[in-house]
Amino acid sequence: MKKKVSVLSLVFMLVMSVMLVACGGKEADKPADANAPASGGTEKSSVAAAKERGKLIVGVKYDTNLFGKKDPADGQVKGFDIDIAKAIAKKIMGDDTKIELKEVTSKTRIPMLKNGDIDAIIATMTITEERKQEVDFSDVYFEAGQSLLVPKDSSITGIQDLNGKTVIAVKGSTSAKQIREKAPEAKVAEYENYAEAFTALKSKKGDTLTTDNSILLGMQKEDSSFKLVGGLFTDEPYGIAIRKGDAEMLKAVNETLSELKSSGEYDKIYENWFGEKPQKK
Amino acid sequence: MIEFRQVDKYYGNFHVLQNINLTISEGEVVVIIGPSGSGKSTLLRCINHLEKISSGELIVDNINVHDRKTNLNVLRQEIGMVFQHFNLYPHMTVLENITLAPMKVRKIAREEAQKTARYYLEKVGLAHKADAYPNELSGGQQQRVAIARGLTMQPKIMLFDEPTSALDPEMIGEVLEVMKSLAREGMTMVVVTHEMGFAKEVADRVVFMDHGQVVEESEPKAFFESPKEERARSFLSRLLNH
Amino acid sequence: MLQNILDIWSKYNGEYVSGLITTLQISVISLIASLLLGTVIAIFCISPFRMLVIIGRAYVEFIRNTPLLIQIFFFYFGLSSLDIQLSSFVAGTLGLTVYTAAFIAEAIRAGINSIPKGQMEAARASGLTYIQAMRYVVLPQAFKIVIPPLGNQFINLVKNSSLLGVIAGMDLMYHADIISTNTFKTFETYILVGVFYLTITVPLSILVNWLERRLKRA
Repeated sequence: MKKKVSVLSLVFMLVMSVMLVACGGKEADKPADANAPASGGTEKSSVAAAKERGKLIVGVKYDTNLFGKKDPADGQVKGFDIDIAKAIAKKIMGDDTKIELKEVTSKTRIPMLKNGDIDAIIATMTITEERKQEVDFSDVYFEAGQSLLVPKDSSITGIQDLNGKTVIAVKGSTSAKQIREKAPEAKVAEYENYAEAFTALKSKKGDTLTTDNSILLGMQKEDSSFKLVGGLFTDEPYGIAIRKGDAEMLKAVNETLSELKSSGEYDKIYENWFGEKPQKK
Repeated sequence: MIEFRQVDKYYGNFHVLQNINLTISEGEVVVIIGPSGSGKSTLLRCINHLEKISSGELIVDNINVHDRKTNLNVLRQEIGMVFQHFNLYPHMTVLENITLAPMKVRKIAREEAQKTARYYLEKVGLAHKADAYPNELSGGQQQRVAIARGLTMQPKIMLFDEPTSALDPEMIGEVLEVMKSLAREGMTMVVVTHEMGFAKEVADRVVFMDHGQVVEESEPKAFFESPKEERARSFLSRLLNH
Repeated sequence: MLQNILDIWSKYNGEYVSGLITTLQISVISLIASLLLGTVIAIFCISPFRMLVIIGRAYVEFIRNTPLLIQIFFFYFGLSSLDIQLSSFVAGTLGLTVYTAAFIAEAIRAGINSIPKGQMEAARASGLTYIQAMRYVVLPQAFKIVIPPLGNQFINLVKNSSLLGVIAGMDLMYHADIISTNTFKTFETYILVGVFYLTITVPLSILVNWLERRLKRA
């Protein structure tokens, strides 16, 4: 909801700046640069910046079960992504409490990273060629794949059954694009976040919800009247995104990941959240 | 035609009308005078139920006005009313002002209603203003239109609530002229006014009110020449010295 | 930046146009419906009947003081738990209508109250019923007065319709959200969508101003 408001106010600002363009000619081209990659302007790497301010700022989801979800009981954000983020903070800052978690959504995370609001994105973010134009990705830290969540009594068994059905997805997610390609006859309705998408499925606003299996599992855990069908029909490796050209940060992140894996700590975190050991590829 | 029987009215604790007993017969012209705040306008407005009475009975045209079962809209068709501030509808032409109630209340066809309207406009000397809007008319003209509006419903009774008080002095005459001719034609009229000349000339009876009471009821000649009550005397002398 | 905007336009013009059409449809339907509903509520609020006044006031206060988004969620998600399934279009239009009607009712109520009492009295004294007096005498005058505030409400309505984007309303904002996440050109996408909203709101403003002038003359 807050996000919606900020988007609206953004639109207002933008329309204002259009008017500036209209009135002021070339001069108003400047504000447009605010959205361009910040790498050119920032000399310091974000590792140095994080050390200077005394904390690492990581963009995570607040609404995604098992990965990043705010626990209403104690106000803490918890999940797999959070544990990975803390490990990175420990590596860079020497202390896993020197971290600030900022809420991002699929829509806001790249602009926020580019603006320097956050040092890294650990938010169930699939590595894609398109996104690589915008950000740098770490090694894969989680192997996911897209699947379908349906009510237990649904007749849908896989993507071949989606003709004429309404598929619920989250705005800006890879899953939405994927399903359009793989089931072109399906109607896709995109919602703001996973909570709303799941509410829409529960409210029968669509026939199935599609996104990564890991997220669907979290939803199923919450409401057992739903089931996963259709297997994994995409390969969606999650990566940690950092600003383009920020080599020092990239190195620190990748080192953390490989250390976690070799020490067995990664498996422990994985099992803690998903109830099983990661499948070896 | 109109009969007040022991009528009382309160505004909260304020006793506006106190034990009013008053009978007005068909064809009578009754002028109500009295200092401001004496309750004369309130008395008038009870007759068509713009004000409710608190107790007593009020019979108009054989209908008990303040009976819950009374259909006020039927009663009001028979009672025309002219207000101090004219209250013409500013968004309508003169003709539309006049024909609204005949068409909507009496369900008279437009042509018929307009014919009647033009007849009465002629009578008040404003036939040429049929298509004008109220704000294009002088105060006196507006009040004459308001009278025509009341008459076009062909009511049995006409009520006038200080019809000349809001007018510039030079316009009072034209309105009084219309009212006088109406009186001569035998319309039952109840008029609240400060125009003593009008009262002397056309009233059948003068009712003097003070502090919510009917203090004196007399023929105009008797009232103006030798008022019986002290309060009436002092009111008249104040008026004359004015 | 202009080049980016043109690129987005050439690639996604279908989405923008279909979003614009949906936004227009929702706006026009809600506008008419909220004007009718708002007028009825306003009449409730000033009617001589206590019960209607209470209903009218409660409606205005309740609706005016709850976020529109929650009302839209109620119609879209809330009703479905009672097995009343509304499409996002219907739920959104309903939500917008109900919400805007509260503001319109307030504007009209203020307008009606500004009409001198003598107008109602003269109409009632001539035998018109309360409803007839309202319809022929008071409301036509009140509408003239409330045209400017109503115009503002209508423009707000068009802008508020962007909230349909969150219930997959297929409107301008919904498509803009998706385009921006697909292109990563947030700035340019929303500039373009802002321009589209202006193509609705500016003519609406002009219409309201024209109406205002015209009615003033009459």
